[in-house]
Amino acid sequence: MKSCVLPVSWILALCLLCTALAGQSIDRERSRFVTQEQGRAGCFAPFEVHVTGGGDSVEVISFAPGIELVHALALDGGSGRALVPVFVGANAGIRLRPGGDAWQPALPRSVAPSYQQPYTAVFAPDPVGARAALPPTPGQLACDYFETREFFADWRLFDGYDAIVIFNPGAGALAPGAQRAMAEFCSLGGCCLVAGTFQLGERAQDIPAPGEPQMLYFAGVPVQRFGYGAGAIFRVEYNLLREASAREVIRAALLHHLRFGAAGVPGGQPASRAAPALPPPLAAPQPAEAAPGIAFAGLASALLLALLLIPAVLRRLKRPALAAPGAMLGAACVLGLALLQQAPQPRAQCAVIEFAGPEAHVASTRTFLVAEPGVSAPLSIMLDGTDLRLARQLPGSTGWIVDEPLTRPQAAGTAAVMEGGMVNGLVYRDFLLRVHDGETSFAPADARLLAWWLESNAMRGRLAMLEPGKPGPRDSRYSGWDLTEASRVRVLNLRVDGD
Amino acid sequence: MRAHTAQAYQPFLFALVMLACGLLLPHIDTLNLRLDSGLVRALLYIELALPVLLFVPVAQRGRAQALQALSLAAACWAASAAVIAAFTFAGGREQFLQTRPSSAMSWLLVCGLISWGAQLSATWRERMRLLALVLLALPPLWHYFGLEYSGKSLLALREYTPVWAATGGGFSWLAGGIGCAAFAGAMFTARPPRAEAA
Repeated sequence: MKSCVLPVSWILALCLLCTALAGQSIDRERSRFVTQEQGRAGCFAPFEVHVTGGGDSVEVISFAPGIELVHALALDGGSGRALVPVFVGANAGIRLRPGGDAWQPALPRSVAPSYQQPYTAVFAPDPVGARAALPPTPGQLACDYFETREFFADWRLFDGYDAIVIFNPGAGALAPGAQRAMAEFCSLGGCCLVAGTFQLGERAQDIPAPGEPQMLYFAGVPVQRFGYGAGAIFRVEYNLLREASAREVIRAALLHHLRFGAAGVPGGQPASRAAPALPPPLAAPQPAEAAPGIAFAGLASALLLALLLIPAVLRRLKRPALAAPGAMLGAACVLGLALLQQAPQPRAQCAVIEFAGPEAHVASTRTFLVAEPGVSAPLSIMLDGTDLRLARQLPGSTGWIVDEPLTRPQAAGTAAVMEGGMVNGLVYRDFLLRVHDGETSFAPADARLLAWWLESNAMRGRLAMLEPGKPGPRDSRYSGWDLTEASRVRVLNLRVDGD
Repeated sequence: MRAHTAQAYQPFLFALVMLACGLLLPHIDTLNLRLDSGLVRALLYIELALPVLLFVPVAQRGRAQALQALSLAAACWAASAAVIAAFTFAGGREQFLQTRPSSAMSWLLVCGLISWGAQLSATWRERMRLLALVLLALPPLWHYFGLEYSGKSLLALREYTPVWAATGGGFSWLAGGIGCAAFAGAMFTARPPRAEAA
């Protein structure tokens, strides 16, 4: 009797453990997008997840096609809350690990990229007052309102926004993490308008300083503009804004950035971090070819021998009924051993565009990564560590678009100036032919990437400098891949006349 | 008795055929297959076709013994899977692991139908084999005919079609359900042992 007690108690303990693990679930009543029921399709939006059901910790996974963003959440008294970016698109949602509870929340209304209507996250000590000062106007301004103390500490929560507006952030209301998120957002081409006395970097020493200020006037109100890589930080006196029409001034400043300083509306689609419908034509690499070695020969021989001998032996032992289960067991053993074989690393190819501004020390990168056919594992990114990447699936092939802020690239050659559809005085297609023929400082392999970027931007009133990029050291985050960098190009956004 | 002995070596036959396919296919130029993840994908399709072509259960007497067909099917499936796993040295391991549930469901369907038929008669076994062939082969044919003649894709059938299991889409639970029902049918239609019958 005593011998039965121990196994039974073990089984009970195991059952209780399994129940505790499986019990964690998403509180669907309280979990929601924290935006005003809107978000940008193809981008990530901040989503508040409430977890209940016990345990000490759980991994909250924001999943989207080909992507996994993992956030480790410590639970307090069996429940917890996390703010994670969730993709606004089909087949995206939240999953818990362990437990596996998965949920695809209803998609919010999409705010399309527009040169007329910047999509803005507004932070203020009093969001109701901010809403009165800066009301959302259909077709002109789309806003989500938050309290200043709720400022996101991760730029990925700002992914869908064109701009951030902060009202009166004095008295140290913004944590250093928030300032870093702001710097990262701006380095990726975003725009941040601060109404108050706040200065970027005053409480976070490891953030690159912005460029020299430039005085601009919007609706008669002086606004300082600090270039920050591809993005910018605007600062306006809070008191001046209270006297003037805050909505007019702020919208004018945001549109100034969105339109690259041009007075009119540029042609084509405005910049957004959603995946482009036509990505750069990057060929998928062919899988590495391997040759069968001793391990394969041994496994194959062992399998055939086992399947021959097991039925014969069991027949001699007068146990023919056990032949099939015995063969199954033998095959399963070989299968297990076969999975231990070292497979060649999957091949991938990438093309990198570095976006910078006149302040060359601040930049961000957008990497187009294409994997060999057959790769189906999602790209997993930990949200809690030092990895600041954000990925989305590349349309049309097995691949990803990976954005990374605050990179510090180096130029590797002479720059070419693009203005009015011409590059260095040549029609841009002629320039591309020269790049292809190796007659410029760009590598011939850069021609495809340059062609893709120029087709979208050359004829749209843009002023930019193009430089060949310098490949960095091997990225340890892709250590599981045989990764080849096909090309790297730098784009320095300049402002057109009228600044 | 001889049939029962031959049945015990069916897993060996499956493994041998799979191994031969894996070694020969890269040498057929027109297939343009190399020793990489593409070969594993090709073997996954062959694995799905094998039970329709090769699986031959012997009618068993007694309900308990009728389940022998199920264990035989499982042994053949494991043998085929072991061969594909051996070829994952060239890549495609993720795809192999990802397709295990849907492959199992597909095998359950085909082997279940054939085993049920075998319990009735040899003719019914072949009829059931034909039915399994139709279930596996017709939806992709409809898909291509649909594309060819009306420009419409029938890929919506993917979830219910085991032959697409090799692409890793869907678990084909419907196929698994039919397979289980077929094995249950095989058990209930099994003829009683001679002693019971007497």
